[in-house]
Amino acid sequence: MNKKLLFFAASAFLCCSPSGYSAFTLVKVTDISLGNVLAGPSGRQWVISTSGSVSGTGSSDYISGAQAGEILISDTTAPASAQIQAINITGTGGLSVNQITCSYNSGVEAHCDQSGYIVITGTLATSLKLGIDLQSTQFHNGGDSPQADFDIEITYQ
Amino acid sequence: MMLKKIRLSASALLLVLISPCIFAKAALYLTEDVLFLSDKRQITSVDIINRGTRTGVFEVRWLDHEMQQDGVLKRIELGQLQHSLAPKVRYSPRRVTLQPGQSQRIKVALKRKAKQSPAGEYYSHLNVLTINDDLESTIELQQSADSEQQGLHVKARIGISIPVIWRHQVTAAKASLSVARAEGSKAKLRLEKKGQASLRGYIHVINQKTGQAAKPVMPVVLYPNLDNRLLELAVPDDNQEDLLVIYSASAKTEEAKDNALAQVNL
Repeated sequence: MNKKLLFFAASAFLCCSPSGYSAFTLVKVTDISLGNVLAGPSGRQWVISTSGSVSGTGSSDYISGAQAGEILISDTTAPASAQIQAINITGTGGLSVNQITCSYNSGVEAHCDQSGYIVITGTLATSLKLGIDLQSTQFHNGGDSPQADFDIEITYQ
Repeated sequence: MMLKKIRLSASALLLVLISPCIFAKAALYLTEDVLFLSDKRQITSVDIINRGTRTGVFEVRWLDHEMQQDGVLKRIELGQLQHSLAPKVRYSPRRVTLQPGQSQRIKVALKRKAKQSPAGEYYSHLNVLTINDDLESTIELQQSADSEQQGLHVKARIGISIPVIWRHQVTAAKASLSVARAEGSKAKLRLEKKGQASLRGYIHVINQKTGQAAKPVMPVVLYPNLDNRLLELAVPDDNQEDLLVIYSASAKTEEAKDNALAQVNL
């Protein structure tokens, strides 16, 4: 299935609510992924932007496979004011998270882990892209399982 | 130095390989975006539906927020706010596992002793958090001998919070609009509220010559803790003298013209 068809399928999937309902739908399409990187020491930083590009001091150890996170949001009662915020951010196994970034509907990439990011909802499925800035705090080998977790909360005002 | 590859986020790599299956996840669907309780209507509900293709596990909890002057909701520790609804209601269930297409009604009811509360508008956000959006894969991974648990994982759990509001012995708030500042293509409007209740409505900017909307409708909410908000409005210079700004409970411009809560000429 090509990308256009896939997007159409996504919109069709999310745009239609059962009759009589007002409704809000969230579906996570992808998690953020750093892809493959080389083993290496602590202090390396990777910034995965909402477009999926990798930068930071650890980018020279990056090999391939990075991608931004993506969530599709639709709201049959749009427009409504909603706040997007990353909360409960944790890093374990030698990882720490510096910040989470968001871009809603292809808008400007902004921090969404501090005071929140206010958007106006739409009736059709709208993409929320997620990026992350993280740092290694220990040497990582091939067998390690470091992890970063966070909650993305969409809060209706 | 011997180079070793760290396999990062096995699940995400799998998604790249089988991109047509990106919707192989639970999809969180709520049937309401705001719930109201009143002294007459003491029970309300919202349905959670899993419209995805995998089993999802959802947790239901309360969150408290206070609105800041710029309209941003600031998270406050639960129960710390005087207007928090959470201690005054009971709800169930608190965790649900839904297979694709299944739904669960979450009921919220005022506690009997809540009636003794001082008059006011009480509110909290009912939060539905996706704990697991692919239970089948989690179980398969746990059972697999060569499970790909190793590697760097970045996992986002997604949740929706909707306001639940109880107006206890309070009447609807009154709104007024004024122009705080108008400079060139930017105007600042002040939306003021009188009364203990919140204001929930939409700003419409109407070209008075054509009667048509000059800008997209903008939803604006004033929580009970605020008595006014400054709203920034970008307006085209050439239209500025002919613009009417209406605040209405209706999102439809034609209805808003007949049901304005407040209005001002720009």
